Amino acid sequence: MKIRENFRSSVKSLFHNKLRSFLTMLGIIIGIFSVIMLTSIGEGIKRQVTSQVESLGANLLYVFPGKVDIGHRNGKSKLGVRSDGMGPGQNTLTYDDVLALKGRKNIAAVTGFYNAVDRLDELKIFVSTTGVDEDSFHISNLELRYGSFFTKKERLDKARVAVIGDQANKELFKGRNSLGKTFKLNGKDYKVVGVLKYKKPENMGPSGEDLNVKIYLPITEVIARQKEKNISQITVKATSAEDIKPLEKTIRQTLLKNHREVDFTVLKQQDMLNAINNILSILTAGLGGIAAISLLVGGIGIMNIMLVSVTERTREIGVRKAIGATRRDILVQFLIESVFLSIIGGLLGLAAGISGAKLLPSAFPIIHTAISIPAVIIALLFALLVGIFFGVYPATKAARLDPIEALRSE
Amino acid sequence: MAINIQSLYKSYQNGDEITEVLKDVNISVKDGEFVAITGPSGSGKSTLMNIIGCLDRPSRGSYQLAGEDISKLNDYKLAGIRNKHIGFVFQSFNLLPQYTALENVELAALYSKVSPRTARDKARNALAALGLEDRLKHRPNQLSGGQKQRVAIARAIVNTPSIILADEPTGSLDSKTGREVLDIFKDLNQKGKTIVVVTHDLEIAGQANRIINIKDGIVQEVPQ
Ligand SMILES: Nc1ncnc2c1ncn2[C@@H]1O[C@H](COP(=O)(O)OP(=O)(O)OP(=O)(O)O)[C@@H](O)[C@H]1O
Ligand SMILES: [Mg+2]
Repeated sequence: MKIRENFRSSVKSLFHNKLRSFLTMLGIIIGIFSVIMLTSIGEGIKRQVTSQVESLGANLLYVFPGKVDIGHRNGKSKLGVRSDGMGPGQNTLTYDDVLALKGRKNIAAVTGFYNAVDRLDELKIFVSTTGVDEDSFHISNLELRYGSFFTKKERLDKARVAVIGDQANKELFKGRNSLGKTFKLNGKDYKVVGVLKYKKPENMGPSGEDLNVKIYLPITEVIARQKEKNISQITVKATSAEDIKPLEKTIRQTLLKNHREVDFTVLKQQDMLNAINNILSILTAGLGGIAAISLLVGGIGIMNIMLVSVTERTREIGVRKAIGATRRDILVQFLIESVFLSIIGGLLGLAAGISGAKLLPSAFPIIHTAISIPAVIIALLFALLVGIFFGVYPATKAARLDPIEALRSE
Repeated sequence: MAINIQSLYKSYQNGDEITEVLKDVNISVKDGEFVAITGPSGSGKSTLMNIIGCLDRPSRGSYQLAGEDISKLNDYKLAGIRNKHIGFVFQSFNLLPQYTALENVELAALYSKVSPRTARDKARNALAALGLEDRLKHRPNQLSGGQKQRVAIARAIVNTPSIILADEPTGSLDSKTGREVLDIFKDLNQKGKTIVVVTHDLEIAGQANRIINIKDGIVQEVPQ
């Protein structure tokens, strides 16, 4: 019999048993559905994080204290971040390093970061405040609702001025225009010079925090009243994308003048993205792998039903052989049945998975999904393989049936 | 195609127990003969038919079909012989329930690797020859017993085989319908086909050129 007729014959048999065919496919449908769903959730997280890192501003370089090896320049591990000598007391980045960088070639803006904890007298609570340079406004892409960011002069004067986030403005000033108003930190008055626009918490700030609760102060003012003088991070914005590479070198050389050894790390934005992407790719693959197990279970379901079907249709197989079917004809027919089940199941699962991935964010806005084409292709190929692999045994069994025994069966 | 069986044995083994079903069978059937096989239940009639039909192999002895030794042929060749040269008719019809009458008959033609269009035409003609042109789209469960057996005969003749093997073809039919089926076989025999029929019905046996009786696995020609 020609393959095309074998195919028609198989489809007819499957349609004859619609409910059973559907139930058999269900395993594959659910398997493919979960593979597509989970990988698109993983892919969605990846894209979201990437877009967030990119939204922090383009052409950025980061300087962290301690020696962090990102990528695989001298570590054995190929995934993620290895850190050495980051113990307490070894933080050696100072505000002098920021000052040394200011005005250098290829630098558009530079800011240090100092995270402090201060007592907010009005609300009788401790809050975290962030000491930054005036350049931070451009580097972090901040948007203001009222006023402006503090100035270079205010930074040089160690002025007690603040730029506050939307939530801070709500709690301190009931959300009104608070320009020129003051609030007390550790018993001293700080004047509001700017209020940030409300940002949805999911569009997080430079270090992944909620911008709405921020209180930005001139970094010089913060350091001046702290015992610990070391800063936690320096962020540098290059004048253009081409300048990033030379700038990385410039930063290293400049800082080395103040440091006896390389006890700091310069990271490009791309390095960070690569590291994050590495981790998230592993996560996505892991999720997909777990889902693939259900595909395997679906395959075993197909084998199970095909075996039942071979037993049930023993007589049919006998009749087919009696009227001239060869072993190959029977083998091909049953193989096509299982492959057809798994492919149709795969396509239905794909349709369900894609619509699920598209609908999920509207039900749970926090979850972002992105359908990954390679995952779709791999899932479908896998479904095909499952159909062949788990179809071969029942089909061989059918083909080998002795026609006499098959005809004698009730 | 002449059938030539010499000192043929068939036994089944179940564990330690060996059942000798056919013992030293010698039969030859010439082209165009109408042979009836009779005998009590369990005597080995179906076993013999299955061997003649190339569905089963003898344990010992030789079976030649048109001068060719069947025991030397592989599964693929045997399937070809069953398809092109032999037509089977069973007591219980053995039609596939998911197929219409036309599709059931067509199937045998498709296994002979003709084009789907040719297969359809052949199936239509075979069914028309048995007066079933208005039952093409009926499924087996929408047909009477006699109609089912006529579909089965149409399937047996669709590839124009030279031998038709019928194992109690009237066993499930009432006597009137049984007689109609018998007439079909007689008609086919007149058109030159070799017919071998297993039957308990003496009336049918009486119509045959020869009657072969099996008892306890031993075959005897019944003189007429
Ligand atoms: N696979 C088998 N294993 C053991 N014995 C078998 C097997 N197949 C058939 N037999 C035995 O062979 C004998 C002949 O069986 P067969 O079906 O040929 O009888 P029959 O003459 O066609 O009977 P009936 O008229 O009832 O159809 C029986 O006794 C049966 O039990
Ligand atoms: Mg019998």
